[in-house]
Amino acid sequence: MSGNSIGMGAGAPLPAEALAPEKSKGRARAFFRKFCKQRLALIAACFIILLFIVAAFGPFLTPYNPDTPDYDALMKGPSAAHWAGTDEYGRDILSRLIDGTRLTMAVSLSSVLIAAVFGTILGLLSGFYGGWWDRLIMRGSDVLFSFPDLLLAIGIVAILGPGLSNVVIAVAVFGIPSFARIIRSVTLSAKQTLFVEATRSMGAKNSRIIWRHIFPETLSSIIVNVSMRIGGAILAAASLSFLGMGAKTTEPDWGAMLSMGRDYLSIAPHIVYFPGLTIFLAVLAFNLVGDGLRDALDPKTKN
Amino acid sequence: MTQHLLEVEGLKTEFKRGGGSVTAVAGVDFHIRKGEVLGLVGESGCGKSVTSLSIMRLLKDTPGKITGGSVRFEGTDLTKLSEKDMRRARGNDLAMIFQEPMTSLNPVLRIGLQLTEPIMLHLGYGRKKAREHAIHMLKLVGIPRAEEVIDEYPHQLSGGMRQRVMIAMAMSCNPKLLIADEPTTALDVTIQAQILDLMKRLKEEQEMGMLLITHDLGVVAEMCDRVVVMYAGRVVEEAPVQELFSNPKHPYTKGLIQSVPKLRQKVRRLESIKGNVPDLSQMPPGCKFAARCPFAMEKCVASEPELIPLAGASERKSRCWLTQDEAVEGGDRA
Repeated sequence: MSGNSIGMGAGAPLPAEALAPEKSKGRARAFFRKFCKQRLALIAACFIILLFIVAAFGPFLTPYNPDTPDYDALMKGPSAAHWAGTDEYGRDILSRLIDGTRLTMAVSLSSVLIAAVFGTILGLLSGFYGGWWDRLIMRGSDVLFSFPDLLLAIGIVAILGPGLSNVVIAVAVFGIPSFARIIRSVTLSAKQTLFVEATRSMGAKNSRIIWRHIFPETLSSIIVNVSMRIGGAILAAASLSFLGMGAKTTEPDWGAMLSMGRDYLSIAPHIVYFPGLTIFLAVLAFNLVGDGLRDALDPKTKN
Repeated sequence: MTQHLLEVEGLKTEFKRGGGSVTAVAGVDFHIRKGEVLGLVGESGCGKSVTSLSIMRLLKDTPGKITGGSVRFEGTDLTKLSEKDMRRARGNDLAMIFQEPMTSLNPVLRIGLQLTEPIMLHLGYGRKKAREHAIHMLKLVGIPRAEEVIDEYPHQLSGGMRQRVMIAMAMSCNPKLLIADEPTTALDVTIQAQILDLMKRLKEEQEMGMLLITHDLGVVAEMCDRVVVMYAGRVVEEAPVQELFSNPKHPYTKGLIQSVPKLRQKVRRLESIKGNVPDLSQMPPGCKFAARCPFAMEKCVASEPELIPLAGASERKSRCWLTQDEAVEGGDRA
């Protein structure tokens, strides 16, 4: 395989006694090789990159102004002029979808990152210190887990009031226990390792052990869970907007567009189709990439 | 009496298991002088490693707990130190080498980072000076290409090399006491000899005391000044190394020595001690070795003898009814 020979050549010259086949540079290469082997995950990753580009350069890519109504073209189906048709005010749906990408990505990414940060901290503390601390955090997670995700989010938004920033908080809160649990279990196994005991025997502080030796062990789980949860977060944010608890209906949010189009389902179904399809593809792509990352980051799977 | 470097008195460590608790170390006494190597010998599960972990107070992540006795290091009782003071002592005054060199280094961090961490922590060196010191330590333990090895990952080193790195790490802050928990068990024989030589040399250069935990009597004969034999969480015999081999007192020690294969001895079968160590949760009331002892008497099953200093030699103790009559007249009972 050509990629393989390049990988071998790029590594530092191997000393004769080094037995390990893969050098540190080779590890990143091995990861990419494993990831690229998974066709679906690769396609999904390309789609996600496209989503990021659209989110970053949205305003330059929209064929029409997403907020300008065109009363001569109300609820027109897909055509050469309007690829995804127009909505009930004659606004170009494609432009609105492109504009909404930024909103959707911002909401889902920030909520998952907030969940990851808090969940990881709680999981590390819970797994490392154990005892009542562990019990408190894990029982708290159990309580959050016992609610159906969306119901919990609706409850939180109901308390905090509607609006996108509250949607971020709500989606983040129900993401925290999943991170906390995963990181706790990785921490539990990592703290049993001999090198942690050896480090402790050299007088290292707990904080040092957690940061230097245990946190790096949890990174791959964090990465995989982040990509898995983003799909769920997109869906949850869209659902909340659909229910009128997230984005205002004037904002070009995918969920809100779906909600608005619902009224015209029988006469202009394309208003619902395209936002629905976009949500579906985005969620699917993040889940596929999550699966791909999990397999590629697992040192046990052979390339 | 001169103060000993380490004085362990009546050390008792229990493990919680299910509802009850199991005593892994049941009142262990021994001492180590400055510059002395004490061997701690016994078969698997007799409490050797738990004793060493208790001295270092590294039982936090286990269900184990020190429930009695004292561990005095240069006069201060380690069991009473706060966690913060204990942390200051670990790696600085007391250092430890573990049995498995393959897993005692973090595989994802470079050697240098792991080696300089305790140096910066305990000696207060800056990054650059710590690195120089680390390279110096690597050279001291006989690692070739020390300047390169320091930037390599553990998987690039062999087992013997990794154990050298562990020794370098343990020795880097000039500890006064080194606890080596079966440091050569995972290595092959030629490397074992090298590592033992290295430890001996370093010990003499740095004048530190050493607690060498092993079940290899060959290593004991090679390295130790005195030996403590443990059985079922208790010390059963203590003797200077020469006397232990020439004149073992406790039947268990005799059995251990007999079960070492000897050159030029034409026997078909190797002697072995029959039976197994008793289950820690179901200890017999009398001598713990009685069930396996060829000399067991009724008395042995009924009550447990004490560890008593023997007459004739300095620092000889034995826990056996057979040696009670050899006890020092009016000797203090340990």
